[in-house]
Amino acid sequence: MIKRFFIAFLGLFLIFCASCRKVIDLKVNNTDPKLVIEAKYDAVNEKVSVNISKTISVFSVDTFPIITNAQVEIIDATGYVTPLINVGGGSYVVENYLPFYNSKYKVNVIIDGTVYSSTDSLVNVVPIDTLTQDKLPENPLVEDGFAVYVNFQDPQTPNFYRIRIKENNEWQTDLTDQYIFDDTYTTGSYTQLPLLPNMYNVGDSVTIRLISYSKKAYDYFYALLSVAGSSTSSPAPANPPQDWTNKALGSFIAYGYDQKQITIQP
Amino acid sequence: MMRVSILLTTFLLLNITNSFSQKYTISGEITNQASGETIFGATIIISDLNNVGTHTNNFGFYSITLKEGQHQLLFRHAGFTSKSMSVYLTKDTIIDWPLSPIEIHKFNEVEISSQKANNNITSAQMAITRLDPKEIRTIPVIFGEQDIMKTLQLTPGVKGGGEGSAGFYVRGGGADQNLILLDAAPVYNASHLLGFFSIFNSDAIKDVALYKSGIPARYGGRLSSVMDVKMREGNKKRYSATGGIGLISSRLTVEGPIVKDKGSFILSGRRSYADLFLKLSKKEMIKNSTLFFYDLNLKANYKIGEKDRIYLSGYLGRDKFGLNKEFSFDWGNKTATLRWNHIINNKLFLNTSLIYSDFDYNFSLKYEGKGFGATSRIRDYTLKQDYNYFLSKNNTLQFGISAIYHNFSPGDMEVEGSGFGINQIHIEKQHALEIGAYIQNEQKIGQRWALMYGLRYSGFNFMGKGFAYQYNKNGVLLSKKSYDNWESIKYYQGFEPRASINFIITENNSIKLGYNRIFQYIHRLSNTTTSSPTDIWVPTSNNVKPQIGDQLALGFYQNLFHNKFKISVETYYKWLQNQIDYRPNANIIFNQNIESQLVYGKGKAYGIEFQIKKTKGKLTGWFNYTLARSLRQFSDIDNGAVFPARQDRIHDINLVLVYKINKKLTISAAFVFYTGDAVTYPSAFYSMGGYKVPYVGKRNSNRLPNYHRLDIGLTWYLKEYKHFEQSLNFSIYNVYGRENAYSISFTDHFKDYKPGHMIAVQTALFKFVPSITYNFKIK
Repeated sequence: MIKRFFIAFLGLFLIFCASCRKVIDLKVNNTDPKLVIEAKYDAVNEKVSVNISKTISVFSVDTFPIITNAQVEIIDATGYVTPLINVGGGSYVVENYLPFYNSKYKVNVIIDGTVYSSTDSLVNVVPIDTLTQDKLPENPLVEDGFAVYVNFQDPQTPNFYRIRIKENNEWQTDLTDQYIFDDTYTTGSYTQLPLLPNMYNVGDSVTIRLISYSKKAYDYFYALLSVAGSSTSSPAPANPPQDWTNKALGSFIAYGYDQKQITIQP
Repeated sequence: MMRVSILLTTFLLLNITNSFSQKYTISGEITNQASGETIFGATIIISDLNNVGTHTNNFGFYSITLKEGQHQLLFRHAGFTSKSMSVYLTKDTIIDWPLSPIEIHKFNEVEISSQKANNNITSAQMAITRLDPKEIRTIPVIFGEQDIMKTLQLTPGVKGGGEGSAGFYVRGGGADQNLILLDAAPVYNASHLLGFFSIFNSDAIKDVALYKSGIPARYGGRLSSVMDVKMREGNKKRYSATGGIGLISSRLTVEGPIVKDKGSFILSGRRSYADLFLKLSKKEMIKNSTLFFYDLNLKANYKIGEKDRIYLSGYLGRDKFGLNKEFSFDWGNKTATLRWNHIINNKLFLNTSLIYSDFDYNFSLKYEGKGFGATSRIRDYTLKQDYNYFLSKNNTLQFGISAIYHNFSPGDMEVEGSGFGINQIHIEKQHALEIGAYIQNEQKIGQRWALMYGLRYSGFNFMGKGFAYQYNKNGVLLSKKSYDNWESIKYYQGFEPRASINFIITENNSIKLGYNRIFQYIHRLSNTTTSSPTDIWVPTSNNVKPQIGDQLALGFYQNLFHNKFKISVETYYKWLQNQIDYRPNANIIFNQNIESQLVYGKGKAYGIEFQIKKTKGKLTGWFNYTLARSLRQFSDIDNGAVFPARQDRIHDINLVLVYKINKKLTISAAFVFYTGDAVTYPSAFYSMGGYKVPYVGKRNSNRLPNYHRLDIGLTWYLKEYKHFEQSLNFSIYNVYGRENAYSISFTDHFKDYKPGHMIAVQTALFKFVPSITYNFKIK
């Protein structure tokens, strides 16, 4: 969160320069297309889904090429193998896949004889206690309005979170609406997290999804969001940690979540 | 040990030659007649001895030993009227001599150099840039804020940290490899407002020297350069005040005698005032906000008897940023130096300094009784002694010792009320003792050779009270061990040879060769590519090794037309060991295991710098061209491939021109061109989590577009009165409005562009920034 404020502070100075932004022609070194596997197990909806595609060159206008000839399977901690169904468009799915929390899962993807594997732990879900609202006066960091607080009891063990926000029936996808954090500064405490700088008005419906991640998933997603929002001013730009064997990009993430809704009251 | 004894034998041999006839010593102090301030670097030439001579040390003291008999002495210093006198030497003699200053702007022509006319040819010191704030006042700068750090960026081998930034890189070294000293006190963050202004208020500065190679043995601790800033001492004769009103800040300096001719003081302040306009706002929130920086410089000195002088100098500066009492962020430096100059005898001069330096930042967020505050701090206590021994007319010895106690508090977080659930955090403090001892001789052999050679020993004791952490090669914590107060965790040491050789071909040209080895024991970690108050200094420890730098440099110097034109060509090669970079996605803010986030590698930098400088006449200025590379290699980055450092700017051109139209008007221009910084662009995009994610290419394998801009300035000296002088300075930064890239980002949604199609968006900061500054002096 501290980082967020530093960024906001730096941002204030760059606001002055908003008019000095322009599109330029740039030469870049394009790399050969790489395989990308995005696999996730949504334990709440009991759904495993895998999307397989390839990278495109930087300024390409093409859509991402898809891989439709893969065999995909998920293996639970007991070694039980469940194949995923090829639903077309590079997607592979299995539904009604019952979760065992606090256990490991492995996904294998086989394309043209090469096996790509990744494992993740499905950790216990930390429940949201309440959502509360708080009227904040206007300041240069945020507009006038209501801030939403997510209140929850952080367990004593290390925990890794992501928050997703649905505002009036629309999931917010902007990078600035993504919260990914761990409990380094909050271990074991009752946490009241203001979702700044997002502000809401009376009557807005806000749904908060508090996702519990494994450390691996957190590290991957934290790095992914950093690089997705980075520019040339980053001192150590880097790709997220390698997750799949055989150098495929992407990751396998297993997660559960708790979700609550609040309507902003006057 | 062997090397030390050879050095001592050499010193002893120097004393034997010419020791048979009767000799006496002339010593004394050279001062500015108008202000009574001491002048350092003033030359004393013995005209009857083939222009043998010496120069005053940092405190204006000189000493020279000559044979009995008649001698002709010439005292000179650029910007002052030379004085000649005849002496018949029959005993040791003290000659304190005041020189009267030439008031530059009252003449049609100027001379820019605070050195004797051909000092660049005759001195053994190479790769040094000296600036006198008075002399650079007419050079245009952004927002009209006179800034020695920005002017240094216009000199060869010095590269700015980015658009408008006061940070700098020297000869391919890192931004943390410059030792910035303010009256001998190290300054840890020399910039205001996220790097756009330096902390040095030109009105309080007497002189700046930047050493880039052949760094004298008395300095240690940073690999690439030493920027030695000396504060003015204040007028010993009478009270005076100077000041200025600019767009960003205003300044006022008051100075005068404490006791006439015995002691003086100077008090100088500067404050920015953008926030005063916030008070005009009708909105409470804006009214209650703060955004400013200030600097306070104070110096006082007093002469106690003939042999002792005490100096006390201090600096206090701070940036404050606050929003409606709920959010605040402030940072700043504090330094204090207490010095005692003692003339032990007419050949031996001692300076003892007790120095304090502190940098900290505070950050707090409070709302309705709950909140948190974070602080981070580095604090140094230094004790050092420096001796100058004027051994003979051809040898000046310098030797000394120093000890610095470093105290690092990387981060503390305090919570108020529920603190939004944030816990108190106290990242363990770290302690270290850095020691140094050096000996150096400046020697002239005949008319042709000038040498400067010495050796520095440095040691660094990383010690308790605290913990030593053990990590495996992937940065995973294995164990930690506790240590008591002053208990050594790890000790590092090294010998640092320094040497410069000058072969004087004629009085107009010379060749110099320089070598230096330097150890750096503290390191700056930064979250951004420019200077930020949240940068963290970390000590060398059981995990972090000292950075080691070796530099070999060769230069050719030619003066033309009676020293009107000075041409130099310098080339250098640097080897850098134990360089520091970050693991992918490193987190360096409030991280107890910050050392686990670092990776180590090596670097090299090499280049050639050309300069032609015109120092006299109506038109003065300089032109530089530098061709240089700065490369790094880390086994953890791109599988050990060599990559360019961010500051690897291959071509670098500066042109500075100052034209004095008449006594009233001076115009100036500065042009800058350099190869764009080495940066990392994506080399592909992929779809992940609903985002179009860049696949990061090889580190620094791309370039920002080339950077160039032209600044112009006009200084108008208004009507002058007996006790009052005034001038107006107009300047325009980036006059042709070049949009230089500050950063480039990739996005698929920008203004009217079709979504889904990636484009590169450049952010530029300053184009066409006009400014006006009013300066005055009450005398």
